[in-house]
Amino acid sequence: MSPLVTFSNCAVLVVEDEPLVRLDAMDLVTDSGFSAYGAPDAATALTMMERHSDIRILLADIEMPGAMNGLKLAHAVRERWPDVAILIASGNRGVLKGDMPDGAVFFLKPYAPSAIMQCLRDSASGTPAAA
Amino acid sequence: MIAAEAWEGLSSAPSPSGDFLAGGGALGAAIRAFDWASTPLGPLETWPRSLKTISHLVVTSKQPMCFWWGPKLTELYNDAFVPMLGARADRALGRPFKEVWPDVWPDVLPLVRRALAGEGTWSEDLPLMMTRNGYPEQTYWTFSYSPLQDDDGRIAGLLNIVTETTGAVNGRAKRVLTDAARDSSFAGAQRHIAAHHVEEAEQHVLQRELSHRMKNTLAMVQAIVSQSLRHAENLQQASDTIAGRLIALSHAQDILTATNWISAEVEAVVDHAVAPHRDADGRFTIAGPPARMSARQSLGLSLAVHELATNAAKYGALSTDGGSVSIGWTVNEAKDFRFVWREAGGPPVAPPVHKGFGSRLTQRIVAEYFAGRAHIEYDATGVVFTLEGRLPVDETAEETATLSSRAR
Repeated sequence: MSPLVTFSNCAVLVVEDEPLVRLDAMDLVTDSGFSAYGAPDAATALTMMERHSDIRILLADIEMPGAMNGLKLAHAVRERWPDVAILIASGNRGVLKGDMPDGAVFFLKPYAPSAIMQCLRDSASGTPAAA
Repeated sequence: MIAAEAWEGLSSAPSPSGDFLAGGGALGAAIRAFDWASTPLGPLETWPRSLKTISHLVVTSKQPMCFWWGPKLTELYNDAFVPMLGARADRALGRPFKEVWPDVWPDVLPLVRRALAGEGTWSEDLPLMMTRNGYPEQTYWTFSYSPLQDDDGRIAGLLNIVTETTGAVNGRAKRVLTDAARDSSFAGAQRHIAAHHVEEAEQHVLQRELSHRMKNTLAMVQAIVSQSLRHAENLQQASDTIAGRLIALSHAQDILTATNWISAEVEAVVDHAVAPHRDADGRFTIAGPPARMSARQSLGLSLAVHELATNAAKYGALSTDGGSVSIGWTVNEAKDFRFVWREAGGPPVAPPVHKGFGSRLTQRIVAEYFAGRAHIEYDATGVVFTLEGRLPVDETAEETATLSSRAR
């Protein structure tokens, strides 16, 4: 599938510990017209953020192994890269808006690919994300 | 009426002053020797009658008990209570409640306040995350808190009569999981859980765990369906591919369910994954030492072997009558794992033109589950798939790590 719209120089970092799910999410990102990076945990994600200045959007799962979960990662990214848009996904309903950085968008897993796609495009074109 | 048969022959003389600790075992002696002047309770000889009475009751009892007294809720306990203190046993006597039990203080504070307000409490199998031996443990406790009055009738402390039920609760949970494993459907597991009248807290933990596994499985299913559709030529093919992959996933889950979702033997996973293709004797030679994989590795290897077998049935050794597959693995003391799938007797093979989900799965994804490398060679004699990586040193570690990270 070739994307209808492309966002040049705009990449999405997918952080998800399950390789199969990450691969599929990265395909979705590519289909949406972005380049995709993937990381299995928060530590790797921060290293990739430092290396790749084209990353404009973070798409992170909350449940991850290691010292830092997806929420802590989101806060760390917001602090160091305030312009990066943040999308958070989890299978757990009990995530409070106050737990996420301001403006972050939450997706309950499993999610509708079209909703993620729309949100990525809105984030890239500067449209404020729906609350 | 006097119960003479109970009192007969027993001395009614008062024990010497200060000997309210007589017959109090090791803790009776320890309380006698302790420097109480350094605590808000003051020297032993100045203790009020009420404090002596409760001390006597506690130290002479064989039932685990402790009590807290005074403005800092200074702790005293008996011999039977010592095992519950774990590593803190050597520095609990005479110390404030909050310093002895900092890990559970926030959880029990509401109960403490109720007792200090004059109302007794009763808790059955209360789950408390406790760090008493240097690491956090999930423990369960059945206990009561009762208010204690001083000589003037004011509440001066609280008494804790307690039984640790961690062993009993874990035993019940294990039985439920074992029974649920026999009836491996999710509805079956739920029926078993309901049937056992497990305590509410425990049932909650189990259901949260089941729900978490369900969510993980659903996320994998979503990825498998999406990837299968992406690479399919038509709907019929997509439907067959999806069904085959979900069956492989389901087989691996059966094996994991039997082992409480901690680990699975390589041989069991391989056996199940190739079973649908075992159409004649001698098709598969499976040989390797006992080797345990983590839950995720088991799911990954099951999917990979399914892909290899499906391809072999279409284009490789399993597509002809005389073809066969030899599957072998080795594991050394450092848990380095090497797994080889080698086809023979089939038609000549060539690398596929399109790299579909199957080849991404067998190479990139499975390699990541094993933190290693995987590759396929299209030898003239047949496909050879090699996976090199690591098995968990302690296969329970991964599960425990994910559980505790979720608990946060």
